[in-house]
Amino acid sequence: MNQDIKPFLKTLLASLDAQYNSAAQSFTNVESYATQFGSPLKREAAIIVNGVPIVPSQAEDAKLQFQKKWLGMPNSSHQLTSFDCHLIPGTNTFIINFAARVKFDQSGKTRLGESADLIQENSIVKTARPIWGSWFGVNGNLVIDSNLNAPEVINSFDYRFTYVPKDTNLTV
Amino acid sequence: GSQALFFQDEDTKNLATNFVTNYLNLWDTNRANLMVLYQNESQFSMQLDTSHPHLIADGNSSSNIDFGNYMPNSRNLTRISSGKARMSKVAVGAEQIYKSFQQLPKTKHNLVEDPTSFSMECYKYAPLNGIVISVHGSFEEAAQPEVSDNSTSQSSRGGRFHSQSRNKKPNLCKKSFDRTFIVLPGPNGSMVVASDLLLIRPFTIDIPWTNSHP
Repeated sequence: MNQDIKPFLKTLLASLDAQYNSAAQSFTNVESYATQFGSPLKREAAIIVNGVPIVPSQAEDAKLQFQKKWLGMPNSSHQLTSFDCHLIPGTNTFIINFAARVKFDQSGKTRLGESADLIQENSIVKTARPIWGSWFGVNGNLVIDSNLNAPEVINSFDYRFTYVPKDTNLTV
Repeated sequence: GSQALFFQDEDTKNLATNFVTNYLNLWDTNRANLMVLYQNESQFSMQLDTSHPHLIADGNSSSNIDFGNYMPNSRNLTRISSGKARMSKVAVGAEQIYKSFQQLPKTKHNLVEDPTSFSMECYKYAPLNGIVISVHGSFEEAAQPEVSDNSTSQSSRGGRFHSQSRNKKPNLCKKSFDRTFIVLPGPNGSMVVASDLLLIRPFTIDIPWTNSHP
């Protein structure tokens, strides 16, 4: 069963890294793009990013709020560097502790290719290729259901930067 | 924004801060005294991430980074594929867990002197009415492990290529870490650690949670 965790984690990180328009993949609309971020999250999952909890409202559950937040971030690229997990007897849940490194697009654009600059020096952007910055360190913790075939299995998602490089312009 | 500490509510805050303070104090001074927290089904394993990003600063050069004390027991599952090896690196039950603890270097965590160098999240673990506690920080290695793993690596490897390095003790130096516990309520107000996952990585003096302004 432990053998399935690695592809699961890689798929999860890949969903966070998906680009709206790329050679490999293109989404028909913003909604279909945003709702694939962390798609194995349960709607009521406990989500904490850098020690700040995502607080669900009546109109928007935690998963949707997370996806909106992530949509506002620049493009990312994660690399899984380590993970370990325990199946907790009698609960059908795994706890996972993983480490990754992540770099972000420094071009100043959001995931949708929009820039906050009012005067665009390069008004004609041919290929919006990301300009990757330095590596950040990440530690992640997940509690997931052991039945990984279900569409939504993540009960809690705790994502914490362990290292932020000096040359970043990203506000953490 | 980013914040160093997150607790779901006031009760978990008190529980988790007391737990971590006492735990790390005993981890530094007398690990045998921690074993009351572990039961037959409790699990512990340690993983090593040598490639984790960190600030390369003076006195923290690569010659100072020695993971020799951790390498043989690391359960970094991105690097272990055989089911047998995966199983052998989890300690189950107090007796096995204590053996694993004895194979890790003795440490000093400056939690009391320098609390801002640590960060922590704590939230509910519904299936067993428990909590998940994740701690991030660093420690100094104060002394070599009580029990060295050399005997096992000798028998399994035949000692052909490792005869030189085997007798040399790894350098002691600072490390950064992430550690995640599932803590459950036990009988008579006691606590039980159901799961204990320790991740060891290169020391970084520069940590993101001290840069943020509340």
